[in-house]
Amino acid sequence: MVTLTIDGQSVTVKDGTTLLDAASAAGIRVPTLCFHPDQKVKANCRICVVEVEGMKTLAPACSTPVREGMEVRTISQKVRMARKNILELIFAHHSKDCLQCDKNGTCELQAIAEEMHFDYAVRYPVEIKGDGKKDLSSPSVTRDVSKCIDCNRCFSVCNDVQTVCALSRSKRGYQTLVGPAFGKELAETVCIGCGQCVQACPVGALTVHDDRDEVWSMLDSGKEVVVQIAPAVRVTLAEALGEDPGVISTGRVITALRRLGFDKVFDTDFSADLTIMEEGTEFLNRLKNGGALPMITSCSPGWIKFCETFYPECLPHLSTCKSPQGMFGAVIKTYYAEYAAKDPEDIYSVSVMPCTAKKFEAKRPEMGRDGYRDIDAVLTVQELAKMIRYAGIDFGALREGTFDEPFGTGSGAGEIFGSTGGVMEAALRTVYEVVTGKTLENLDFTVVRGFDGVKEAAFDLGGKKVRVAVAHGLGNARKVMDAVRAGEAAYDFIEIMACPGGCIGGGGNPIRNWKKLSRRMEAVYRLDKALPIRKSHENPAVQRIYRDYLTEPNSERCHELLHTSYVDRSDIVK
Amino acid sequence: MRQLSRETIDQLQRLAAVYKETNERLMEVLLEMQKLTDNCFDRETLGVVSDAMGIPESKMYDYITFYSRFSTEKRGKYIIRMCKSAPCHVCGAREVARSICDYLEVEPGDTTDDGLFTVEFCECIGLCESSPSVMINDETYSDLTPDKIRGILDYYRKEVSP
Repeated sequence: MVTLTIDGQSVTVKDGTTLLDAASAAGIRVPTLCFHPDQKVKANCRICVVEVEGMKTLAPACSTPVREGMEVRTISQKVRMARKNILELIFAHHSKDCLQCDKNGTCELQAIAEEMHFDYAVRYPVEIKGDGKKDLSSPSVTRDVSKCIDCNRCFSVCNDVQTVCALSRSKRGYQTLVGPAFGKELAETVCIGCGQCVQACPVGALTVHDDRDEVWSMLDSGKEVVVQIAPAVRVTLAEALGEDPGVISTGRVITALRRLGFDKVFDTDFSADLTIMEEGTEFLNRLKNGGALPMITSCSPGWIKFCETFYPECLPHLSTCKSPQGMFGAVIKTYYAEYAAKDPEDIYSVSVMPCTAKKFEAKRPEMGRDGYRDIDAVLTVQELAKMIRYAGIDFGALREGTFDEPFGTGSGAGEIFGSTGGVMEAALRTVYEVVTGKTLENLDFTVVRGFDGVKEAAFDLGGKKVRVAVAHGLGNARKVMDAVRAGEAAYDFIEIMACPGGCIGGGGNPIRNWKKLSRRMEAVYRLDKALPIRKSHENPAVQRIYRDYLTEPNSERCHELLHTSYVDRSDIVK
Repeated sequence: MRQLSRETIDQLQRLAAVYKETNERLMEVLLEMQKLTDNCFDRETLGVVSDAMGIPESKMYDYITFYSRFSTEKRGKYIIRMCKSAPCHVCGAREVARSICDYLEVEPGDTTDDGLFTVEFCECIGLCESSPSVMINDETYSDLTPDKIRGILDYYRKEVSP
């Protein structure tokens, strides 16, 4: 342990602690920009400089380790002068149209400027990067280089965590630029739209591609506007509106959506259950008939595009099932249209997702038929939270609503889709009972839960041993996929989620870190525990749709509506 | 966009293998590669190279644009690197630089119309004792005067590349 003094307070911390964490232990928050709690230290923005007795220059708190007897001042005159200058240097390169910025009110730089009383003129020539145009080419992520402060947080998550490597850096010093190589637009790169860069960006340089305006206009269009909400949405929306991470708000989300003018509110948990029926059956068929194993889940559209881009030879391993969003989209424009006696043309189908890649998925040509789209618009949690705020809805005071029929129920199995390991656990609950004909006594497959990068387990399915793996975050997926490609993966069934933590860590959620994620994850399993039905095949709405419309899992009609195909996108890397 | 010849691609791939075997000498290998491709790594070339080396394009681009000896735009056959550090400067580097630019009818950073020369500035090349100095590709020339450099440029035009 090391004892030091920070702003006159004595504090004792572990050896190797940074000044930033030591200050935090002493109750002092030092401003940061390039620092991210889940990433390695970069120390390039310098806003966290502090004064250390005996050191010639100011030290960045984020990268300076503590030493015994250090005397640190975090807010001396010298520090304030330096930070003021640093802020000016940043603003000399940062477009200050805060009013038109998506991050207005949530921007880390704006917050620092406000704290530091930024009321003075910048003394340096103002040179804003880029040509003033935003990159709107990706349906998932919008990039505005005029806002970029070169902190490298997006680069770190894109290259080190996700290993997608769509974002690069160019040049150095004054001319440094973070963005795709050769100044390409995001749509021309290997970007898979996971939105983890949006989660990492402290300013408005990378934001969710915003589809609010279109949805607002459709709410007044006279069409029937239906909306589905994904499992993770109910555990992250309250957080996006200022409540604590992990607050469950299912009933309030439903009421808020009705108040916004959505005609019908459906639960994606229902189609998650449908996914389990289809995917579980597909898996059992592959086991029985010698299909491509291991079979890999296909719920995460970021992961799908990653596989299509980097592992095209492994596409036969992907389950042909659409994601729950995709399945629901098809069901709404067919089964529901018949049920409600509507022309599919007159239904506008919206989904609220924790995911930016779902915006891309909804635009895939496979997701529609007869000239109409299955999903017309995808809103992220962030966008819905803004719509609720704009409508002046007091979210905290809302009554609890219930989902609309004929898809009123979702099971606990559908609910846990929101967390890494959830799809696997949900599938195991159903597959076990289908194969053995016995009732599962303990529904909690805890071995596939948690935040370990790659989780492995083996289960006995009526005498047949099934080996499974669960990976989340594409860096972890890459490890598993390298083994699959080499034919060395000793698994039968693999769940992969593009985002670290699964959907609760998706790019469309409120800004994440691992601490918040664990609260969200607890909420997911709390919800599962509280639901009366916890197995997909016991969901009465699912049983009804098979009885009335789809006949049986993997039937011809199921293949037409609920299954899809994939394309080799590896050209883009070559 | 230009198309690399099959032969150039083969050569690039052979050089890439040198790096891939050891994960060493990246800088050296890339400098060799650059000689084959008009002294530049454009999109097509970098695509071939990153594929052959197994390094993502984003990381290659980061590396290439960081070091001034690489370029992502097509340059001349001979790169003239004019030292702009203080010792050369006080010994008349500015006059020598002007002389080069006037003689070749280009501005610093530009390439001559015949594609033979690109004129660039660089930091100290370690020949301060005989300033001012320039590098032309891998050769160094010192104790320069405006007249002397014109003679050297003529030599490159007539003798090295007739």
